[in-house]
Amino acid sequence: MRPVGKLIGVGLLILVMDQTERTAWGLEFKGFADVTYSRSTIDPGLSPPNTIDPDERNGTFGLGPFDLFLTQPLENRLEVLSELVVESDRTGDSFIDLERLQMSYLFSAAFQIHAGRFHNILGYWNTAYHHAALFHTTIDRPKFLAFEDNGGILPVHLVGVWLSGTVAASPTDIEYGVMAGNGARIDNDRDRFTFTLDPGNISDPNKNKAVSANLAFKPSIPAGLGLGIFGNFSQVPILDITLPTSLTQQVDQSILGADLFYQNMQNGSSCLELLAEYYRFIDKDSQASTGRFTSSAYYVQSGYHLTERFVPYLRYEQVRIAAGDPYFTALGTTNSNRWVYGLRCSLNPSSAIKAEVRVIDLVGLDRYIEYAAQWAFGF
Amino acid sequence: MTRRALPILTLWIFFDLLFKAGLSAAESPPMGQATTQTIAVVAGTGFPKDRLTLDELKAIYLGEIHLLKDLWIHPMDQRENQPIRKKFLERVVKMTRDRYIEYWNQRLFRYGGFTPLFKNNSREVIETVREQEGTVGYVWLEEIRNEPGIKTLLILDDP
Repeated sequence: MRPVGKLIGVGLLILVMDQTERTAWGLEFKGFADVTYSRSTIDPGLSPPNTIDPDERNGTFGLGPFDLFLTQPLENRLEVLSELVVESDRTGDSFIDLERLQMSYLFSAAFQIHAGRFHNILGYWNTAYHHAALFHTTIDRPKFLAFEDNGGILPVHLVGVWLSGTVAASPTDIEYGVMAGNGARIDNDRDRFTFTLDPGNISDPNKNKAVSANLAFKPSIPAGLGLGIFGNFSQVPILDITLPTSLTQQVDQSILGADLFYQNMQNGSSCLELLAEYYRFIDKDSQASTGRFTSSAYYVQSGYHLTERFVPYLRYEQVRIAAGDPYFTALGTTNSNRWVYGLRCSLNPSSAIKAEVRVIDLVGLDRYIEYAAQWAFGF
Repeated sequence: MTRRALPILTLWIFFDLLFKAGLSAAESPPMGQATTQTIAVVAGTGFPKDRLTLDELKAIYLGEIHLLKDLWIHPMDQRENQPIRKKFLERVVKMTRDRYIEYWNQRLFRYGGFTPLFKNNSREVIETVREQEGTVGYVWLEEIRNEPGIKTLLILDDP
């Protein structure tokens, strides 16, 4: 994490502690963590680089993110929220990431304004579960929704401003949001060889701000159903720091999608859980006349709450990349299919054990199986 | 066979009745506590509304309403050892205890805000709503008779 981010984090902590001195009313401080064992049959020689940690062939225990979440309403309709995550990389070093930091002003439930770093309003998953594995039924996010620093292909974070609100209406409540902020970039400034997506925490590589918008409908019947549409529009430069002129390509990108969520928590102990998201990527290299490239990714996940404790689940994910798409070529993304089968056992509302098997098909490259078990908890 | 079965059956019924009586005693409120099943939803006299509908109350306890006329609204829960809590969750939010906790953890993480504040018993609820503006809580109806400085927003009769 860069020094500026650390300063912001410390500043936020001081601000909140100062408010806490005056009144502890409404202060919420929570922590989340997980420990995961995983083993894979991947052949590193057949798969693209950075697809998976080769040590997972040996069976590996890993610490998930240690998530410190804090929120407090302040005086005069102000509210502050932060999510500070301590993570470890493959070298064993730990580092701090300020994943969310938002200051909000609540005009009303129908109109709120926020400034800071958010999870981009793309789909259901990204704004519902954030960095706590306890909350999602499965062990991991869908692979294509991975965080930017974990090989992700979507700008799941955004620094800027966000207008949001909920309009309670009949027959459906409507949630909306509009975000504008720094656009992401693809660069190789980590190790000079691997290109990764950088959400642009402290600067924007061009004048065009990234803009996201979403609209979600939550009808009263059936209760627990949510349907949403969303979009993200940005210009993503691809930078190679080993070259004298680092800018190699500039991609005009539109991401359009839809999501569905269903879970009726009020319907006794047994209930169906359904989640699906579809993303369409339209990429165009603005500096070359190579035309538009349309790629897509989606997942469908379902679980059934047999009791309050046990939830067997399955998920199918698919990624299809258009040949020559400059954005995905830079990130090294390939076509893939993933099947996930698992069982979640909630020990109590703050702790869950999950076990799953994943069948991964990197189309035309490799097909392998992953086994994983996780204990996720909160406090 | 019948001669042996009869005393065993008698003993079985005796211990069964004894066990149920014990359970019943454990579940019944202690001496001096109200025995009515009617719940009163209460707030201080400065609360911005005089009446709440069941839907509004549910929205408050699910965090969907947290601001009324410039005032943060803080719902209060009673501890799990209080029978009124189970009854309130069944009647108002229609969730089990575990689902309710899961719901709040996820909601807080997603939208921010604050979770309901726990109070040990009805006495603490009454004192808090009287002293802290914007708080709302639930107690047995009998417990608020002749209590000054509070108002009743909704009565939940036993169905």
